[in-house]
Amino acid sequence: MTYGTFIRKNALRNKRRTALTVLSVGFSLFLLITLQAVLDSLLNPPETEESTLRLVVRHAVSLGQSLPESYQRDIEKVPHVKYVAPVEWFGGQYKDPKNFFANFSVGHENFFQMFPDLKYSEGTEEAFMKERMAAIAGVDLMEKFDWSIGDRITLTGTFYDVDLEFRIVGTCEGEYDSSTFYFRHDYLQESGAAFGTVGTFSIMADSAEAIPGIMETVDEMFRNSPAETKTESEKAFQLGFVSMLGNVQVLIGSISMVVAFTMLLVAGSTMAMTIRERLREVAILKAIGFPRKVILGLVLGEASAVSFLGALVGIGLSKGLATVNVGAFTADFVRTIDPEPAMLAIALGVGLAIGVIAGLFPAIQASSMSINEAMRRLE
Amino acid sequence: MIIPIQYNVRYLRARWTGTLITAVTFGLVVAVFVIVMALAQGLDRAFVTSGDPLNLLVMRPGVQSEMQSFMELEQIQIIETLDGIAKGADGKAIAIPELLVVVNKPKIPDGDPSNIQIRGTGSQAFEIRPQVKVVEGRMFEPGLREIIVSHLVAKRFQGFKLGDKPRLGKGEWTVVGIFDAAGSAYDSEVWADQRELSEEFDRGGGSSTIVVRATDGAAAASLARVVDKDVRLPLEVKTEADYYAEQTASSAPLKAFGTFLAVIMSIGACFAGMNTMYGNVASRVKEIGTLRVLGYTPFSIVLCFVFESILLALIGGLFGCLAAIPMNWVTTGTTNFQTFSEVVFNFAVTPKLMGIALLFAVAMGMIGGLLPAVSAARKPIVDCLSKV
Repeated sequence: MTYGTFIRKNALRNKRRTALTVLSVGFSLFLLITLQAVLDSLLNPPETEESTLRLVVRHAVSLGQSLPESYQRDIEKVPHVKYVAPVEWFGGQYKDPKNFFANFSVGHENFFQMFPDLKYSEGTEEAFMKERMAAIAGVDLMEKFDWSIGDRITLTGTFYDVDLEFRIVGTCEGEYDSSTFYFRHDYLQESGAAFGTVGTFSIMADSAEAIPGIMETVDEMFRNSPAETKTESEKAFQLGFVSMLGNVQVLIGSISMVVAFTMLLVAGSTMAMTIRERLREVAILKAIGFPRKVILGLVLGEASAVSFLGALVGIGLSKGLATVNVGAFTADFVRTIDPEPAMLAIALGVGLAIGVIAGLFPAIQASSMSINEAMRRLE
Repeated sequence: MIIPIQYNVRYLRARWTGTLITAVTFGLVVAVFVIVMALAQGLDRAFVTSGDPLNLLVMRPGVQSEMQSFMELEQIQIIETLDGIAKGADGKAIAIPELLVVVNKPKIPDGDPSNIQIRGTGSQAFEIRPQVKVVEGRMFEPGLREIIVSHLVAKRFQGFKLGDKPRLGKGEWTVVGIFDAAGSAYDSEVWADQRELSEEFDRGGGSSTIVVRATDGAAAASLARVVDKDVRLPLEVKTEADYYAEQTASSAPLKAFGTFLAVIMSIGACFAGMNTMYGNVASRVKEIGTLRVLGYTPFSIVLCFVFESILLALIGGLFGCLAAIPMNWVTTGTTNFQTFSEVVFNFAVTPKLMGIALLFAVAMGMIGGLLPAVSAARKPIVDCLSKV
C-alpha cells in the first residue's frame, strides 16, 4: 500500500465526517472567493485599450455643479487632446424608480470616436447623427424591457424638470457594460434643461503618456474662473464612486479574515477529533518502525487532502455564481462575480494551507507521542 | 421523561476544548452577521431619528432627495402666507427656504474624496430641529460667509475644524461653530445661511425646498391638501419623517450583503456543528445505551442532543454578540446615492438585533444537532451496550 492509498483510505473511513468537513470548508472558501472577487471588481474597474486613454473633466466643487458648454472649445485646443465630448448624467427614470439604469446625454458628433470600445448594431451611427430624439440602448436593457429598435420610450427627469421621449435607433454592447442608455446632448439642451451647461466632459488623449500633461493643462486653464475643473483619468473617476461607498476594503478584508479563521477552526477540530480516535493505530505504526516524519506526513497529508477537496467544492460553487447576473441586487455596482483564474489558484492554495496548518498540531502531537503513552491513552 | 439539562452542561464542560472550538465557530458567524447588520441599522437610525412629523418639506414632485428639488422665489412667498403654519420665537411664520448643495472634499486620513452635504438654512431651523445643538463656538451670522459643521464631519473631513477656512464654491468660508445633531442625518452636514450659499452657488436666491412647521397634525394634513390643489404651486408636501423614512432605502444593499454573508457562513458552520455533534454522540454510545435501559424514550434522547447542540450554538451566539458590542462606538460613513453625499453614523448593535442573532444561533444549533440526535436515538440498545 502506498502512502497515497493509506491517506485516501483513512480519509474515507468516516465518510460522513469527511463529507461534512469538505462541505464546511467548501462553503467558507466559496464565500472567501466571492468577497475577493467583489473587492477586485470594485477596485479594478474593467479597462479597455481606449478607456485608458480617456479622461473625465468635472467641476472642482462636486459633480452636482455643471460646467459651461464653452469649455469644450477651450479643451479641444489643449495639445494631445484628440476628442472632447460632453457627457451628462440625466438620471431619468423609466416608468418606475425600481427600473434604475444609467442614462447619459452625450455629444453626438464624436461619440463613436470617443467610445469605440462599445459594439454598436448596424446603422446606429448614421441614425444617431441624423435624428435628435435618437437613443442607443445597451443590449441588456433591450432584453430586460423588451424593447426593439424603432420603439419610442419616455424617461422622466429627476435632476431636470423635463420628461424626454426617445426613439431607440440602435443598441450597444460592451465587454463589461451593456446596460447603459445614451442620447444626444443637444436634445437635452433643446428641452430647456442643461441650457449652456454640461455635467462632465470626456477627453480622448492621443497617447497614455500625454494624460498627466492634459490633466494639468486643463485644470490650470480654468483656475480662478467661476467654474474650476478637476480632471482625472476615467479609472480614477470611477474609483471615486467606490471610495464614496465607504471603507469597503477594510470591511471585506476583515470579514475575509474571519471566514478564513473559521475554516481553520473547523478543519483543525476535525483533524484533532480524527487523530484522537486513531491514537492506537499511530502507536502501532510507530511500533512496527515507521519514523516520526512519515507519521507527520500522513496526518498532514490527510488534513490537506480534505481541505483541498473543500477548496474544489468552493471553486465549483463560485463558478456557479458566476453565471448569475448580480447587477440586479447591487444597483449595478457589481455586475458579475466571476473570479479570475489566478484567484481560483490562490483559493486552492489557501485550501491546502488551511489543511496543513489545521493538521499541524494534531500531527505533531501524534508523531511525538511515545508508543506507551499512545497505547494507554485509548486503553 | 426528560433527561436533566445538567447532563449536557457537564458534558460540554468536560469536553471544553471541543466545546470552545465549535462555540467560537458559531460565535464568529454571529459576530459577522451582527456587525454587518449593525452597519445597516446605524444607517437607518441616522435617517429615522431625523424626521419630525410636524415639519413639512415642500418640494418638486417626484424627486428622490431635497437636493434634486428647486423652488422659485415667488413660490416661497406664496407658501409663507398659507394657514396652519406655526409662528417662531420672532413672531414670524416658520417657513424656511433651504438650499442643498454638495462639495467634494478629501477625507481624513487618506485624502480619498467624498461629498459633504451643505445645507443653506435660517436661524428658525434650530427651533424645529431641537436635536441640533451648537456645542463649540457659535451660530453662523446671517449675511456672512460663515458655516457651522457637525462634529462628525469635522472629524472625518480635512479642513473643517473650528477656525478653518474651507473653500465651498467660489471662495473661503469660516467655520465658526461645531454642532451635534444627536446621531441624526444632520450629523453628516454643514450648515450655512441660505442666501449667502445661494449666492455662492449662483442659484439667484432660490432654494431646494421650503421647510414649514405645522401647528398640529390636522394643519399638516390640510397644508398638504392646499398645496396640492393650488395651481400656482406645482409642488408636493411630505412630512420630514416620511422623507427620511424613504432615505432608509439606501441601507438595502447592506442588508442584502449581511444576509448573504450570514446564510453562506451559517451553512458552513452548520456542517461543522454537525461534525462536532456526531463526534459527541459517538463518544457517548455507551451512555446513550444506559439512558435507554434506565427508561428514557428515544424521543427524550433526541431532545437531549438537540438541546445540547442549541446550547453549544447559544454559547457561541452570546460570544459573538459580546464581540460585536464594542462596534457601537465606531463611527463610519457611506454615501447615500439619493443625495449623492456622505452619511456619517455609528454602528448600532441594538438589543433587537442581538435578539435576532441569538435566534439565528438557536436555528443553527437546531439544524446542526437534529441529524446527530436522531442517529443517537435510533441506535439499538444492545448495540450501544456491546460497544467498547
